[in-house]
Amino acid sequence: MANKKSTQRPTADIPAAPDFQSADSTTPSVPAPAASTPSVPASDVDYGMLDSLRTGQANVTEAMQKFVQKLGDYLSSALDDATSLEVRTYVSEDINGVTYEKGQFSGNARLRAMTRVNIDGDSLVCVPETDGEVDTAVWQIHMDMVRQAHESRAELMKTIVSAASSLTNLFTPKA
Amino acid sequence: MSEELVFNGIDATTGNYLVPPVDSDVMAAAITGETHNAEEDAALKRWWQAYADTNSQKQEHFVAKEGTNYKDLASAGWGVIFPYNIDPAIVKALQPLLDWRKSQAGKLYKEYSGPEGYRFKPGEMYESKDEWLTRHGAGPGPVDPEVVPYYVLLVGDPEQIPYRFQTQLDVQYAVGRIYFDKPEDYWNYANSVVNAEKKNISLGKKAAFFGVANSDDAATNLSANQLIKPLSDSVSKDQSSWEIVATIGEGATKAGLKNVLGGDDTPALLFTASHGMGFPNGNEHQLLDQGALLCQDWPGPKNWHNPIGKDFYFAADDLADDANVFGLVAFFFACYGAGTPKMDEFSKQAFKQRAEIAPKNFIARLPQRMLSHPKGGALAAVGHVERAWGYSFSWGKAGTQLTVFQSALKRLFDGYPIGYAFEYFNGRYAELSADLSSTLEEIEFGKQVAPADLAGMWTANNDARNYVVLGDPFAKLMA
Repeated sequence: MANKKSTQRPTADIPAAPDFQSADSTTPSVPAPAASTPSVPASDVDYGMLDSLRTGQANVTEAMQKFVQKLGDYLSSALDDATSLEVRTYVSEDINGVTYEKGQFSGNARLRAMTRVNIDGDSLVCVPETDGEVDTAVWQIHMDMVRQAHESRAELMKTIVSAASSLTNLFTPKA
Repeated sequence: MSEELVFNGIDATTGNYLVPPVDSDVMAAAITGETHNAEEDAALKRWWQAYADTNSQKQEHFVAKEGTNYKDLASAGWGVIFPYNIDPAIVKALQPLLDWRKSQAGKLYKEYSGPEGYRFKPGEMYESKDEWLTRHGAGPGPVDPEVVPYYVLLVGDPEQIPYRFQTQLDVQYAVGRIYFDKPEDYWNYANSVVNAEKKNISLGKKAAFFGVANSDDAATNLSANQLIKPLSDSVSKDQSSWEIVATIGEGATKAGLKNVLGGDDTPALLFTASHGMGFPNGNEHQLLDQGALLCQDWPGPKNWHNPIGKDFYFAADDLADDANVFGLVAFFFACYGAGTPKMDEFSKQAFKQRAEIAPKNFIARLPQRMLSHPKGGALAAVGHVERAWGYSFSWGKAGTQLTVFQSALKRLFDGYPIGYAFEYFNGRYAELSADLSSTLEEIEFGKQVAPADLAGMWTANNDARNYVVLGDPFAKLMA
């Protein structure tokens, strides 16, 4: 520590205050801050470097939205179809006379067996009969077709679930 | 790991802490606005209730462009910002100072008044620092004194020019503020600065460090042992030509303070650390005594459970008319030592609203009285707006951190103006704000941050921000 020195503190020489005629300081209307800020903040301007990218991005986005819309419509329809399974088995003695219209055979085709399985498991079966006996040949063919239809529907359901997951991922933010 | 946080500041009416001690986990929940379980939620609510009860029931930092000479106003520039509706009598009273600065700064002298001044509509609209600077052609970044001067004196009440404008502008500019009750007070201050500088007065190379350490009081014992003592020791070592007098603990009484604040031993630089007095919102003593310095006379929280009387603290009216503080530069480390905001920001995050802690924003009376003293005023006082925190000088496991204080004082001792010297505090605020902002953003995205760390960052950020200079930022030590 330095040696302590005895210092005479100076004093201020403040002149007598003049007469302050305090002006009326009533608050005038506040001048609004000048509208010097452009509608787009300067810091947001990228000087054109990204304009083309933005246009492309907009186009891609629009196409993607259309695709997603179509895919969604299709999946919705497919899901409706998958809620039930219906197998019809027809026989005909003259295949040339058979026509297919509105999801059904007609003409020389005769419906011989039909199975309908709802998604909740309810089943409705129409068994073919000849002279009071079950037509086992037709029934065997029909049951094979029902089994194949079951397998096809299982695959369809997998596809729907997978597609729906992909759709969801498109709109899920990545961490 | 959780830890207990103890805050600076004493409630005069109860003798209790202004802010009850709080667990760091609870503090972190208050910051993020989130609690993680019922227990934490209940703890936060209990602590907040205790805090609310306390406050209501009773009632080389490169800042200017390259080549700027910070000691020369002709290089750094000097400007004064008045509220747009300033009373002309105040401008007239300040004229001696304005003329003096104009003669020093030349073409880099600027007066912002009327439409060029600070614009606000009470209670509704206040210009931000960025809006004001933009109006005057300055964006973020180093100061160009030819656009807006580096040294800026705000003239006005914080009700007119908010504290936030001051603290944000202060990050890049050297900002000080004066506000007094009467034009005569401005006259006294203006003539004090002009007198001191024109006459180049010498108060002698003497600095006083004054550290209160109240019994059983963690906050003041921390500031005495980790701030005042090591800081005064390092200054003694660094400034061998100066007489450094440190009064810590026992001698840090009100009488002792009176001796170095207006008395016979008033130095060129006074640095104090103590509790600052706090009062309930609207208390009759709040506007007069909030921020007054609580001295060693207070027996401490375990030995005193009554209201704190004036014989324990040093307030504006303790500075008598015959006191001599002419030319003094002071630093008060104390809650509300420089002023008090109307609204408490502490409750903002957790409770989505801010509590009112005072009827208005105001400047502490003690530094006001010092600067406008009729026998010659102090030139500047640095203090804290709002509560002061230990994080300023103590940083967790890193321990005592005095570099900001040491560096700022070194600049003062080297003859730099106070506004430039205290850029170290502003730089620290900018760093902490950047860190806190980044951390809060990462938390939004799932980052796990220890509650104690987050609480520390937040308190340190507020603490660093709220140091302000009262007085002309170009004021220097008159040694």
